[in-house]
Amino acid sequence: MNKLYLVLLCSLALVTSMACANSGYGPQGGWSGPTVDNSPFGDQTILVANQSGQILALDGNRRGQIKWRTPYDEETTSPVYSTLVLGPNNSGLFGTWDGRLVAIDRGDGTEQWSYSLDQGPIIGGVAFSTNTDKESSWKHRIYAGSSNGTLFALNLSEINQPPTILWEFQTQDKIWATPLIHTYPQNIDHNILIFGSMDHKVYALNSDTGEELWQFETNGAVAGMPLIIGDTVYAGSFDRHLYAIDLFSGKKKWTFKTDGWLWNQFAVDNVQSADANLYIPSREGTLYALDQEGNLLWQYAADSKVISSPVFTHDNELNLLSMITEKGTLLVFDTTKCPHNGSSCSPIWSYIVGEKVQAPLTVFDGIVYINVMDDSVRGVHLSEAIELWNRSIAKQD
Amino acid sequence: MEFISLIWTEAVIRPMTNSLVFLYAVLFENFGIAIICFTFIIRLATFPLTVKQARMTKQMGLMQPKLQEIQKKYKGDRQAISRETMKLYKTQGISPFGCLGPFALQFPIFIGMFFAIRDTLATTPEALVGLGPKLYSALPLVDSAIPVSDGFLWLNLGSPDPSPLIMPVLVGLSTFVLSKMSMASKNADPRQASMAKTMTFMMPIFLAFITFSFPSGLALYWISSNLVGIIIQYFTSGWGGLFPNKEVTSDSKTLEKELISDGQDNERGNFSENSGGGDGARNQRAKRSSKRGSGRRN
Repeated sequence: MNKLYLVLLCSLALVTSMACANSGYGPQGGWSGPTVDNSPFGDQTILVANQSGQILALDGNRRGQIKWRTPYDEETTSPVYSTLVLGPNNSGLFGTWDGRLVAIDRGDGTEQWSYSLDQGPIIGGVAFSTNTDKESSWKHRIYAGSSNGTLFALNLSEINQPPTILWEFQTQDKIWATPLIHTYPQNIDHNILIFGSMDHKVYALNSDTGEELWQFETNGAVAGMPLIIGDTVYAGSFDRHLYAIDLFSGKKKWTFKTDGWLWNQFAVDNVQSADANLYIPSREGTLYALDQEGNLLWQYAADSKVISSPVFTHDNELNLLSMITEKGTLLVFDTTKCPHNGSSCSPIWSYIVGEKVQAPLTVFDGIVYINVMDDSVRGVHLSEAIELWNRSIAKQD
Repeated sequence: MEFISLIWTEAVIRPMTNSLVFLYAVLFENFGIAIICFTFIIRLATFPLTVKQARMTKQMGLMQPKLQEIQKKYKGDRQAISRETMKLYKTQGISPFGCLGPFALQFPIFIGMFFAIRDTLATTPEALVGLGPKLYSALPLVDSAIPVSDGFLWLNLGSPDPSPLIMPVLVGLSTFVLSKMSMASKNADPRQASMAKTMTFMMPIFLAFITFSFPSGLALYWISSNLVGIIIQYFTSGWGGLFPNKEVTSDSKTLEKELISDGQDNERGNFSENSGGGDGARNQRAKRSSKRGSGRRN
């Protein structure tokens, strides 16, 4: 019996050490996608967060050479999951795991301001809008959701000063989706803010007042950024369905069933075109190409799950769709060569990065930028199918 | 190693994770109730083994005088002691490793629960990404139950008890009670008795200590499991070592009678002469029966 107790004790000691070694309750480093700043001042600067929460600026014209990095402080630097947004006053806006909205100067990485929302981690990206009406009382607005379920609208009036809260909208669960602003649709005098919540709903709000215009309930959490084409909102849910919702009424148009959770941002081949197609990756690793009526054009089943979001680009008269699996295989499709009968389409080429990838892809000027989990950024030329450069962005104090 | 990991994931973690999520979905989306209910189901599934273990523990306790007798008789002859002990076990229908079963089963469950709770609560985006492929797409309600809310009473089930003493004390106390009850009320070997006593105190302290850093969901599982264990133990073998004087359940009396009667039979077959007395009334009876056995033979 005593031997049994010893076995018990040893096993529990093992469990304890396992728990200590791999608690798994904290964030592991974030998955911020690269952002290309092609403003005259930026000149193809790539802004990206590393696994430690530092923001780096890489020179896209010089094989990713590091221009600057934000300082690292063990106590204050927090993982970044959101992809940086180019904000006003030459700023880069992002949210952090410790619940702060931060603006840094894109020129040198210095912090312009930092604003704590409600202590809930900010996972989704920041939506930003500028008012072109010079007589209007506001100039810049920021929208961001928190893990405590609140969507915040903030006014940004003074340069280098933190924003002030304009309104808040409470949902019943975490908001991990990046909100989407739809600007002045059809004779409506306000913008529409669309976002999903883990409470299974897609919300449409008046972006000026926070008034709810409609809500649409799915059977699962909505964590991905919605997409708007024409007067239709496309939103994916953890119930494995894609929903097409009328932008103005919030009524369901159609649904499409997939094989896994829908979380990733969708790609679209030409958002302005009436015959634009959607590219929907499921977490199980299947990519679905759909038309706007929900008809399956083609699909491709990857050999591992897909966490990153795909991107579409026109390059040398090719319509290239790039997707990367979590195991790090970049797959590039020429969508003009894919069938429209629901059968499978094969990639025109693939490239094995060989490391885990979870951050969304970014494409600019024929080059796809990949933030790899080994703390490196890769630049891959799409039409030449070669890796142009590989830059380490690992933590440095 | 990869194969073992696959087996562990598919045979333990995934079924547990899916069960917890499913129970959460059907039990008012309350993860605390889901854990308690899951514990009852596990205890129900392992009930025959638990009862068997409780009975064996009891029988082993009652066999102590006999074992001591063997040790004295064959002092210095380890092989003979081992042989005769095994014979005694065999005649009583006891497997010395039989009581390992429930313990051996409890640990994969305990470790599995740790991972299942961690996976299910998925507080980070990475954890939530990992949860998706673990869910059975054919199982209804599981997808729509995500994300699982971790609140229960004053606890956040994915984090240690914020109080922070209540759960560690309950874990320690319930483990102590169950350990005490599982102990034989009398242990003939003073060295073993001393070790058992030490372990009975050490184990609850150890478990209470680790509860400070473990997710409170796991502590809830441990407490529920102990409470069910205490009930089963009471109805199969009474209070055991917890209240030795109250150990008068009809079941234990029957066992004792059976053992004495079996012991008499054994002595007729195996022991040529009485090798000395043991402690207490049972040993006196054993002595008398041993003499009767020798007399008949002579």
